[in-house]
This record gives sequence, structure tokens and C-alpha cells, in this order.
Amino acid sequence: MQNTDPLALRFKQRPLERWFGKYSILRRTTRRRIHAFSLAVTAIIIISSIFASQLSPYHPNDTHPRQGHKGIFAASNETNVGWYASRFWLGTDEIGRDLLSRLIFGARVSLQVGFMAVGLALLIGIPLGLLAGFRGGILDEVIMRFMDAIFMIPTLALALAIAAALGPSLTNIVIAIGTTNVPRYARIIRGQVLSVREHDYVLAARSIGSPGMRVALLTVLPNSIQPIIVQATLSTGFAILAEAGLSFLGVGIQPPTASWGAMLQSGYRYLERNLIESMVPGLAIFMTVLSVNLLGDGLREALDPRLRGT
Amino acid sequence: MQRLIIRRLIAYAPTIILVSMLIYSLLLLIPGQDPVNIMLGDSGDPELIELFRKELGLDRPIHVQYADWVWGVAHGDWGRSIRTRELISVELKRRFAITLELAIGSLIVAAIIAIPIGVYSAARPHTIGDNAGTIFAIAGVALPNFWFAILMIYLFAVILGWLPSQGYVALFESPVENFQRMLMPVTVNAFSASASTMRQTRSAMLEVLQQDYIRTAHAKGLKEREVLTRHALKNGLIPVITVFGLTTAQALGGSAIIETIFRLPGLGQLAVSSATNFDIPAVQGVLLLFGSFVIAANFMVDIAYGFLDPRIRYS
Repeated sequence: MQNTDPLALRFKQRPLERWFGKYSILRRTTRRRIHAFSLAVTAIIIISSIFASQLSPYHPNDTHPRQGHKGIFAASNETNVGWYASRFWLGTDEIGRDLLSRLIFGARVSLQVGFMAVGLALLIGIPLGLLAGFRGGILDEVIMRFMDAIFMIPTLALALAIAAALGPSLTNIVIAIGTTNVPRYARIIRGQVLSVREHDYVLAARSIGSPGMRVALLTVLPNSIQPIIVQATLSTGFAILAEAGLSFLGVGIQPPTASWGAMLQSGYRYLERNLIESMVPGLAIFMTVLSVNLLGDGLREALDPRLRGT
Repeated sequence: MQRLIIRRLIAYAPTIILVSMLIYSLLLLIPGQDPVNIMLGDSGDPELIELFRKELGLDRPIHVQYADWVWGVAHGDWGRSIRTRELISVELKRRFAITLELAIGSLIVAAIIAIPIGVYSAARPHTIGDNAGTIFAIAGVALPNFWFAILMIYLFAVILGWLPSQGYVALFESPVENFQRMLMPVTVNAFSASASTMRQTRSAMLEVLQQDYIRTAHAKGLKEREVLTRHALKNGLIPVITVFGLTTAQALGGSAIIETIFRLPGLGQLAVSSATNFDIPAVQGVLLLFGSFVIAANFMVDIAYGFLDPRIRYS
């Protein structure tokens, strides 16, 4: 039988409404123009990294003899390639590789590392924080002291050391950046758990005989997770920045794979000759990190009602 | 006060031990757990490998190795670099001053940039000036310092030719040249560290400005300038001290990139060049020094906080 209660009908959201309706997270996040803009930029970067092979005019590692250090809109020496590949829209690097293609494929690397590193940090940080906050006592002390110790070593230097010890590869970069981010999440989750576990509904869950593990995972964790969403978005930006920094220093993604940090490194070597080679990857890193961070800001405002209108 | 210092010292003791363990365990991450193989390659002479293993003490259990390392470090023996065969302690001592100058310079410049902007933002919240400050802070976080450095070099060294882009001259050798060569690195490093200081100043000052005693100061007819500098700033800057520990870590971490770009032979550059050559003992030396700096900075923050805010001292 259909529910005809008008109030229930009013609050019954259709799936589309939940995602795109007036009170959806999406709408609340994009309430301010700057946040809507940052969402759009982030979406464009994600889409172009997914469709990198379709969108780039050339293969990122294709070299063009006698076409090195070309400026923007330089005509290509390829024949019969259609209008899109007839020019190097953003110029070429020292061995004549198309910068636009490398930029698009570089986005893939940046986002992969960004998402995977944050994913890894969440995977380790959340259980640790939950354990420390929920159990307390000596376990809490040991875990949090350990997290403090990681915090005391400058993040970039630690990531550099881990990446160097493991050897440079995409997976190892993810491990290096992910590990350095673990304490952030452990601390946040622990703080949340400490306040959440005092609530009556946790006591209720316990008093009906739920085992500790079940209470921790099904009652405490879902109510502690919200600040993590914002932090995860923000640290995706930091992870992208860290990957670019490590690749710039030569301990990250190895050539010939296109990554923004490595592109900037080679562009820097020819700074006096061709500025565009440094501008393209640098601007890409800046815009990506900026829009991801702004998106995090928007999410924070959407999820935390206290911040509304400030 | 003394009790606070002792209490904090005791609290940091396990952190120091854990930091050293963490740094030492980096050796375990090396594939095959054997730096000797990496040094000599697969074609290494077995006798040579045995010799290296003995020297590095790799033939003993890990906890013995660690204890030995700690003992050595405490007695000034930080081991030898795998790559250059030089004593790490000598190398660190030689490079120490450069990174210290860069880090302290960055912290000072960051404070000079961040605090006035933060105070202004708090005094005129939600105005164009405040929004500009917010944008400055957000951009400061997102701007890659290596790209910013490259842009600065392009503008001031390549186009204008005002500043040298690379190399280091000691402060006591020629203060003027030292200033010229450190100006860009310090500014770039300070820029990314200033964002957090600015946000903290803004929020702390906003809170202080709502207090009753500020209204009293206004009511007795003080000019706004005097209210801000004489009354609000004193209390408003106390929480700002807490970001000092964080910005120290940021400035030291940033030194790896900054020193590499500007060719400053400091600790950060040593970390990078050692890391690219699998010279893990040297990297460990730098990390240990960095870790000690950050711990010392945090310790000083705690003490300063207790000194400025008696409520902390007696709790």
C-alpha cells in the first residue's frame, strides 16, 4: 500500500533529488560561485585524465625530430593528421614531445597518486584512530605517540626518504605519501571517537548487548567520519603537490612517463630558452591543487551547518 | 615554570625515541633489506660485499644494529656516507648553518608577511581586504614552491638580472652577497609557511576582538590603532605561537626543494642528493637532525605558551 502521509511524501526523496535537489550535498557545496567553479575545474581534470588517450593529439612519449622547444600553437611537421594534431597547442619539450599530450597524461598520474595515497592513509589511519579512541588506555598512548613521532619529521623529507629507500615507482610514491598522511586521520578520528562515544546512543547500543567491535564499526565510526571527508579532499591536494615535488626532485615518477613534476624539472633546465615548458606543468599543478582545496572548503561549509553564512 | 619544563621534557622523551626508531627502520624498507647490493650492484665482489656488510653492521640482528646506531649518534659518530665515504657528522656540520639560515629567515619573513595581514583581516572581517588575505592564504597553500621558485628566478635573475639565481656565500664572508643569494630562497620558503600563520592570526584576533576588555578600551576613547596594538595583539598572538612548531617542520621540509633549485649546499640538498643515490645512512642523518629541530621547536612552543598563559602552567 502506498504511503499517503503528506509529510512522509514531502521528505521522501527520489534518487535524482537526493543528488541534485535543493538540499543535496552537491547543491550545498556549490552554493558559492568560487566553489562551483572549483568543482567544475576538478571535474574537467578528472574527465580529461580518464579520456587521456582520446583527448591528447599525440602519444605522450612520441618524439618529433627537429621540433624541440616549440612555442604555443607551433605548426607540427606531421602531415595528414587533421586540424587537432596539426599544431602543438602548448608547444614541445627538448626532444619534441607534445606538451599538451604530456599535460593530459600527467593529470592521470597526479590524480592516481593523489587518490591512492589518500586512500591508503585512510585505510591505515581510520582503524588506528578508532582503536586508539575506542579502547583508550595503553593502546591509545602507544598509537598516538607513534603518530606524534611521524608528525615530528618534516613530511616532504620523510616521503623523500621512504620513496628513496623503496625505489622510485608509482606504487612506492603512493606508499611514501600515504604513510606520511596517516597521523592526520588517526588524530581526527580519535578526537571524534572520544566525543562520540560519550553519547547516549552508544550506551544504548552497548546495553542491548552489541559486541564492542560492532559498536565501534556500526555506531561510533559512521558518526565520526564526517570531518574526514573534508580532510581527505584537502589532503588529496597536498598529495598531488607532494608527488609533483618528489618527481621534480627525481625520486618520484621516472621518465619517460609524463608527470607534471618531471615535466617542470625538464622545463626548468631550459628556462631561459622556452618559458612555456615551465609554465604549462606549473600552472597545471597550481590550478589542480587550488581547485581541490577550494572544493574541500566548499564541502566543509556544506557539511558543517555552523559555518553557514560565515 | 621549572615544573612545566621538566614535565614537558618527560613527555617528549618517548617521542624522541620513537622518532629515532622510525628513522632507523628506513633501512628495513630497502628491497632485500640490503643497501650493499644497491651500492655495488649485482656484480659486486662477494668479499667487498662482506666487508661493507661488516662495516655497516648488517650482519647483526636489527635491535643490536639500532642500539649501536643510537650509541654512536649520542657520541658524535653518525656513520659514514655510503656514496662519498665521508663522515656524516662532518658533512652535517658543514651544511648545518645554511639550512639554519634558510629556516630561521623563512620563519621571520613568514611572520612579517602573515601577522599584519592576519591582524588586518580580523580587524576588518568580510571586507575586500580580508577576502584578498584569504585568497592569498589559499594560493599560498596551493602554489608549488618549486614552481614559485622557478618563476622568481625567471623574473629576478633571467629577465631583470637583479639577483643571482644559484650558489651560496657564507654570511661572515660577505653579508651583502649572502643577503642577495638568500633573498629569493627565503621568500619562496616563507610564502608557503605564511599561510597557516595568517589563518591562525586571523581567527585568534577575531576571538580576542569580541572580548569585553576590547570594548572597554574602545569606550575609554582609545584610537583603533592603539586598541589593536596595545591591547588586542598581546592576547591575540599567544595562539599564533602554536603554529611555530608546524611552520618549522614546513620550512625544513621545504629546504629539500628550495636548496636543490637554488643550489644551496645545505641539509635539504644533502637529503635529496643522498636519496637519489640510495645513500640511506646520510638521509637518516638529515632526518634525525630535522626531527630534533622540530621536537625542539615544539618544546619551545610549549614552554613559551606556559610562560605567556599562566592557566597552562598550573593545570
